[in-house]
Amino acid sequence: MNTQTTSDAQISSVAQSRSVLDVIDVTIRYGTKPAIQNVSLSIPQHRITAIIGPSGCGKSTLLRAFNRMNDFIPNVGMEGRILYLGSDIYAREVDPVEVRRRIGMVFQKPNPFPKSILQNVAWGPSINGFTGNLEDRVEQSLRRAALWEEVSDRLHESALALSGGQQQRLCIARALAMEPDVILMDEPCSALDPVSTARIEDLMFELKERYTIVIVTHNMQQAARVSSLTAFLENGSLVEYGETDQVFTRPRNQRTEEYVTGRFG
Amino acid sequence: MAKSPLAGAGTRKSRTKEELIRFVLFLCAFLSILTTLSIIAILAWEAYSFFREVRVFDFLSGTRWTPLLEPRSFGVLPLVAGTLQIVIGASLIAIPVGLASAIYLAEFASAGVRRVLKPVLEILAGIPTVVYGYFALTFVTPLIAAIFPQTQIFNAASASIVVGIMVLPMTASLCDDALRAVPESLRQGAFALGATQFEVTLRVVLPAALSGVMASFVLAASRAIGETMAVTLAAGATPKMTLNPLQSIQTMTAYIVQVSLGDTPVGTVEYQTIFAVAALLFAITLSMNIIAHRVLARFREVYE
Repeated sequence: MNTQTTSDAQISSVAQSRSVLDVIDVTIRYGTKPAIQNVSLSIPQHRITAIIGPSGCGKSTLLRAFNRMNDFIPNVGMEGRILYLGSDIYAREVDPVEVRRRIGMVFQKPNPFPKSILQNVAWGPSINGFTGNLEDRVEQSLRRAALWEEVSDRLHESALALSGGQQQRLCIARALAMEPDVILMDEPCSALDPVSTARIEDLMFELKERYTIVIVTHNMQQAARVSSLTAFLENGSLVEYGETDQVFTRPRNQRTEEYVTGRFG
Repeated sequence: MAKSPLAGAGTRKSRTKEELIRFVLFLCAFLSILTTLSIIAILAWEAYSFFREVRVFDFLSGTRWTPLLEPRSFGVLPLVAGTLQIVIGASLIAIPVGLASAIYLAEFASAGVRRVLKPVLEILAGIPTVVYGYFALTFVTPLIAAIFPQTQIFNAASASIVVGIMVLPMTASLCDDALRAVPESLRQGAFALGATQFEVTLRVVLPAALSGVMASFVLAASRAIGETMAVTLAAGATPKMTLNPLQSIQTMTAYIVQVSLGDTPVGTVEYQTIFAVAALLFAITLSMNIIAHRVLARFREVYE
C-alpha cells in the first residue's frame, strides 16, 4: 500500500534519537471492524510525540495499545508488534501490569480517586511494593507536576475538592509517582479551560527532559505548540509522520495539508 | 372581546378531560398515602392504649415476656433479643456471601455470565418466604440436629440460616448496584498505574462504593428484622433471652403472628401488646431505612 511505503521511509528519517516504542505493522480490530490498519512508527526518547487526526480516526485506540489498556475492551484483536525498548509488550510471557508500571497514562477527563491528595499520589507506589520514603516521592511527584505549591498545606483533603485543572495535574503527579519511562496522554486538556491548558502544556515541556511523552489531541494548535514529532492518522491509517514543524508547514501528503490547514476534521 | 387566535375548537373539552385525569391520578396517589397514615395512626392509638396500662420503661427494659400467662409480664427484651439473634445470624451469612457475589458479578464476571446470574439472583429474591420457612424446618433443622444432637426442633440457628439465604439476593443485588455505580474511569486510572484486578477492586472500587455497600447491609438487616414467615415456622414461640442458637426463641414478628392467630379478645391489654410490639418494630425498621437512604443519597452525590 502507498501509505505503508511512505511511513517506512519516514521512520528512518525521524529516528535520530533512540526509540522507546516501535510500532510495527499494527492492525487493531473491534470485532471485525478495523480501527487501526498497518500502522508503523517509532516514538523517540525524551521527546513529545503528538498523534492528531479527525474524530474516530483511531488515535486513542493506538495510544491505548501502547500500555495494553485495550485489553479491557471485549472483542479487541491486534496484529503486528509493539516493542518497548526492543521487547514485544504483547509477547506471551509479558505481564501487562508490568507494562503499565513503566508506561503511565493520563486520561481525557481527570479521574482522581475519591481519596486524599496524598493517597492519590502514593497509591501507585504503595501497591507496587515501593519501599523508599513515600512522602518524599509524593512531594517530588507533585513538584514535577507543578502542583506542590497549591496543595502542600492540604495534602489530606479530598482530591475531588480540587479544580479540574488541578485534578488533571494531580493525575499527572499520580502517574509520575510510578517513575515511568513513558507517559501517554489521551487528550489531557480537552476538559480544561485555556488557563489550565496552558499550565499543562508548560508542564509537558518540563517533563520531556525526563520522560517520553505521547499525546493524542484533536487540537492542532496544541500539537503544533508542544510536540517535536507529529503523526497524522486518518481512518485508522498513518498518513504522515515527521517533525512537527515539517508536518505543519511543509506537509508531504495532500490530506495532511488539508487537515492541518483546517479544511476538514 | 375578540376571540383569541390560539383558542381551538376542542380546547374547553380537552381541558376538562385533563383536569379529570389529573384528579383520578391524584386520588390514587392519595390513597396510598392515606393507607400508610391510617396504619400509623391505628398503631399509635392502640400502642397508646397499651401504654396506659404498662409503663413504657417496663416494656422497653423488662426481661420477661409473658403477656398471655399468669403472672403477666410485659418486658419486650426477649423478643428484641430473639429478633437480634436472627438478624445477626442472617447477616453473618448474607453480608460476606452477598458482598463476595456482588464483587464477582460487578468486577470479575464476563458479560455472558452476568446476563445469566443477575436474573437468577432476582428470581431467588422472588421465592415466597413461607417456602424458606418450610425449607428451614424440614431440611436445615435436621441437618443442624445431625451435627448438634441437643438442637431443639424449633431453633434460632435454622431460622437465621434461611433468613440469611433469603436476604442474600437483595444484598448481592444492592451491593452490585453500588459497585457498578463507581465510574469506569476510576478503574482505568488504577489499571494504568499497574494495579492488578484484585487491587483495583479491593483498593479503589470497594472504598469508592463503601457508603452504598454499607447502605445495602442496613437495608438487608432491616429486611431480616421484618421477616416473619420463616422465623414463625422455624424459630419457635418461646420468648427467651438466650445466646444459644440451638434453642427455640421468639421474634417480634413471630409474636404478632401468634397473637393474631389466637383467640385473644379485641380491646384487652393482651391484644394491644401486638400493636406495641408492631410500633417498636416499625420504629426500628423505619429508622434503619432512613439511615440507609441518607447514606445512599450522599453516595450518589459524589459521582453525579
